[in-house]
Amino acid sequence: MKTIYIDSEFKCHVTDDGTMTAVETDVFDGKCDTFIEGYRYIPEGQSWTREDGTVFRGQMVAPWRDYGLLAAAQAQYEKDQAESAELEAAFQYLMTGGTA
Amino acid sequence: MAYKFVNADQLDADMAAVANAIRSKGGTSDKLAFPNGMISAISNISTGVELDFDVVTYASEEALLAATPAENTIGVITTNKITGYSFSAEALAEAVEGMVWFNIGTSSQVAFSATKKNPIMVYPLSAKQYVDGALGDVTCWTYQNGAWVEWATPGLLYDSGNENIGLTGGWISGTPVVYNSSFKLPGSLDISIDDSGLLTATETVANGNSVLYMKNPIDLSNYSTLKFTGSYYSGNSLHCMLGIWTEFGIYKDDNIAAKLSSTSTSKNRDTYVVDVSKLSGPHMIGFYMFGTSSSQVTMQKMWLE
Repeated sequence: MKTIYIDSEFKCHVTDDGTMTAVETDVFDGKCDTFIEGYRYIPEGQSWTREDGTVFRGQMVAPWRDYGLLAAAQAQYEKDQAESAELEAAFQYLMTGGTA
Repeated sequence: MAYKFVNADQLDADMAAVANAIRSKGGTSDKLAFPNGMISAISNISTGVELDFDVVTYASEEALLAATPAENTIGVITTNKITGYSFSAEALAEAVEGMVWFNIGTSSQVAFSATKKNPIMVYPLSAKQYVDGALGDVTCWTYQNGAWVEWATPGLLYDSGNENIGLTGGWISGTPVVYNSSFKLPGSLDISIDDSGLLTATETVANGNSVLYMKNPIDLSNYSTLKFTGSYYSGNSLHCMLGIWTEFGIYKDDNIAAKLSSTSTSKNRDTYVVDVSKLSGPHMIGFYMFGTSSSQVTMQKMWLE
């Protein structure tokens, strides 16, 4: 579960610029900031109108940026996380004198 | 005029052998008179693959349904001239104006053999025509067994009992994903369809996990909105949702691209919508239900626009 912030267009942000609404959700657990900020989160009881006039009601989570770009960012993030974990494990191994 | 003496029995046998060879190649059982009948039969032997279908355009569904063409006629409803066509499982990489791409799969309600001899089965699913620089959906029917049969309707996912199997593969239930590592019991859905085609699915296993979903991934390219008329409800917003997955992972939110979660008002029959304008390619679509608080889904219609 993490706190994200939504603006007046219900776009998600990882930090609050002082005008946003805080939302607690687990839908973005494990996701990088780029992925999160490519999404729109409409809470229950609220609605958003797309430029073509279609009205979307909460509780909806859907990307406002091309999902392919978000997926690529997330994949790179997970790769970087895995490499960092490997480096950390190797460092710890060395610091403990090569013992398990 | 000169005459030759021949063995009559041998001549009859030889003539029969020639005639049999002609009949075999020509696919006929007719008696063949020598020489003209044989000459004619040989002339009629096809030297290439003979197609057993035709593609015809109709300006409207009314015009199509009023026609009685040859068997295996594919009727394409379009006002744009068809300049060529292709049957393939992947969209045209290069296309010219007017060309039609017939999308094929491994099963179809309008399967047909493309050839008269040595059948080559084709399983059409849907079609798009290249008009003004872009591929757009066109509706197709095939004339089979003396009647028109409609192909999978583009974008229709369920309508009052019609599962549009050519596109969706049918609606099925199972446990492709679970709530989390602590709650992973397989569920079981009680599914019924009433006379109006309203589908009702209820989770029957306490703490059970079920998904009611379309067997086929659905290509969301060229669509901006997923709409669904019905209801979806659980007492907890985490326990029931309309999900759009890039593929099923392990847990319900793995690979979720978009979703509508249950709310206090989603118990009401209404038309609910999801923004899919930024999604493209194949996605799994369905309802995840967790067996507490009586998770239930009713569905009259689901479609893409």
